[in-house]
Amino acid sequence: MLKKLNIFSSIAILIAMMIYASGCDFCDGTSQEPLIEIIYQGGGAISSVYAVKAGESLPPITGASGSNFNIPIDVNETSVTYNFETTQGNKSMQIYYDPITNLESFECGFRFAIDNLRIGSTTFNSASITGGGDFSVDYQITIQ
Amino acid sequence: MKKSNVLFAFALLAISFQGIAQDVKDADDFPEKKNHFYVSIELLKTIPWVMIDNAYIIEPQLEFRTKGLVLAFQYGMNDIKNTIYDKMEYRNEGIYYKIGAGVDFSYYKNNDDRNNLILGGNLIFSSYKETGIVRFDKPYFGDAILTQENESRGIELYFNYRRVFENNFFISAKPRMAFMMTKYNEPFFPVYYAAGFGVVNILENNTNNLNLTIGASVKVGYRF
Repeated sequence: MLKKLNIFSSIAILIAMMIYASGCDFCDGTSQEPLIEIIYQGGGAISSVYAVKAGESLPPITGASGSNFNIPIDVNETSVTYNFETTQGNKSMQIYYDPITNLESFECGFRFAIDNLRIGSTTFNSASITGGGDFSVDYQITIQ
Repeated sequence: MKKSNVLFAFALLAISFQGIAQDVKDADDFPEKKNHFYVSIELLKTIPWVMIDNAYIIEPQLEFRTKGLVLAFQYGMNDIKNTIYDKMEYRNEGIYYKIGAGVDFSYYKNNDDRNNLILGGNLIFSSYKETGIVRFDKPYFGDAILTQENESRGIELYFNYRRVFENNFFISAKPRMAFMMTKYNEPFFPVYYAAGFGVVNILENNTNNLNLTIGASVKVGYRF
């Protein structure tokens, strides 16, 4: 009986320590650039996307192709221009936003997000924003 | 480091007792006290920080005692690199000025003017920039660089015990309490270290920090 009690209490302590050690749910030791979701409703598909920073083109964004994908945001700036290579020619879109930095805890570190997303100049026929809010991919830009 | 500090404090105490014992003489034996300049530099903060990541805090001080009044001016500069935030590379570059006055109570006693007991206050003018680099996992644009700058003003109350040796070199111990009267500019993270005030986020709180700091300094210097 006493042995069982010991086992149960040990397991309970272990679980409590695991919960305590995990701290916060995103605390996996890494911080991520915030992302926004792109929904492409024009004809054809997007083959690649790359950003322009300080007048120079950055490499294509990994995984940014097709009609639905995520693109990263530069938290050190308040504006980014993306170039899209589509089957119907090259397009571009500039966005404006406010970066948000939140220190979760000294141990977990920081979470990054954006707020107040706006569309600047674009060569797409239309671009609209939906969503927005907390620290997740919840801004969507639908482009045509 | 803590152990060496304790040993150092005991050594200082022993020297002080020795000094007090030597001062027990007849009042007629002591010459009239002179005005003096005192130049000193902080030991406790300077040496450990230099040993850690090439960081430094340098705090030279100039004092002038005329009669029982002590006028003090201190300049400080720091470049601290720290791992207080687990996920951020922290750097603090700052300068400060302290200007103030105090009363040397030992001046009014009959002694050989080698043990000074000073109670005083300072105004603190401080300016510092904190930079934090947060490394992203596979960044596209690069890591986040968070910069926040502060101009802080405050007051300080201190007690200073100074032991002057035969060759005019001295060592002093100075417990102090500082209060920041201006608000922090901290859009990204709580200010960790304020030049001239010390560590203001000693509790590692992720939303706010302290306006009151306490600390101590040990200085070595020369009396002119």
